Amino acid sequence: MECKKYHKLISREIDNEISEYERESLKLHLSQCLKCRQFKFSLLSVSDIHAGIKDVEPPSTILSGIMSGIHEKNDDWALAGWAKFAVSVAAVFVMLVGAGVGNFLAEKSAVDVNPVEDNIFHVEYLGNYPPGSVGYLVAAAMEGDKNEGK
Amino acid sequence: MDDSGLMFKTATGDTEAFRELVERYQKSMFNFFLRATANPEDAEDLTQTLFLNLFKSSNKYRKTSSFKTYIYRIASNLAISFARKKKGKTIVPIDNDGQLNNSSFKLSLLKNPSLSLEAGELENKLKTALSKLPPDLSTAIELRVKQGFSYSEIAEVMHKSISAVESMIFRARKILVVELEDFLDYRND
Ligand SMILES: [Zn+2]
Repeated sequence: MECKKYHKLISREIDNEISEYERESLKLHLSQCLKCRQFKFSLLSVSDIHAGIKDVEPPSTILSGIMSGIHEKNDDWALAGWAKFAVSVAAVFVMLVGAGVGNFLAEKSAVDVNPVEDNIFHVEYLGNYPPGSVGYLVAAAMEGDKNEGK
Repeated sequence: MDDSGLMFKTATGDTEAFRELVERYQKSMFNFFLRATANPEDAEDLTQTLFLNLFKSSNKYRKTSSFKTYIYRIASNLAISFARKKKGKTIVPIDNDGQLNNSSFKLSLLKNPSLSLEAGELENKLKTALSKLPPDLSTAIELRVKQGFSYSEIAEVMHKSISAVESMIFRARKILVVELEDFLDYRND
């Protein structure tokens, strides 16, 4: 039982994770215990062989594989970024269309200012978009097309 | 530029900074995984996975500890989860006290051991023994002996207490001694 305690101390001594008091206590025990001296020798032997293992050169394909891997990831991220942008634009568009239609319906129900224009339904609708909105710009473009057709 | 600086540049999308980090660490990482798996193809796959994860999470990197501790934490997690997925990697059974159940450890025979094998052969035996250790033990002993981490650094890397690290290293050493015992020439002179 006594030796078991010192076995752990031997491992910590090899790693230099031992207090001065413990070192002295271990030193004293080792001077009196052959088995623990032998145990220390075996742990040191294994540790030395382990420490002496030389690192080998990694295959050259590792670096190229990693670098092409991150470029793929970058492309994925760029695509994901573009998709987020597209979704944002679509969301703004939907909000504006919703607001425009709401505005139009409110005005329509109050006063029907120009019923004759109903046959050009889409332009009439778009004409109710606030200036600067996507709907306004589309309406302006369509008005332009209509004028060119005349 | 130091490793942390390169990591911060990587987070901004600087792939040249990242390449520099890979060049600095690919050898030690590959060898870390090679000793854990004893399989060059697995080691290569794990090294690539490690760096791709590192790149992907570069924006989460904070300089709370050294970069070396940080990268070995990712490597340790990868090595341990890889070993757990690979069934049949175990090993010498150990009970809760860290005692070897099937121990043929004969202290009385350990007088004046000398190497009965060529150094290279013995090294190969040790490599095999290392790759058969339970993954947390092989990681702990590797970080201590090959990477020179202190117990507190290993505790940080492996999210363990210092006494748990001490115990893992001790258990690893005892298993390695048993595994190599047959290849040592014990002479009672
Ligand atoms: Zn003793």
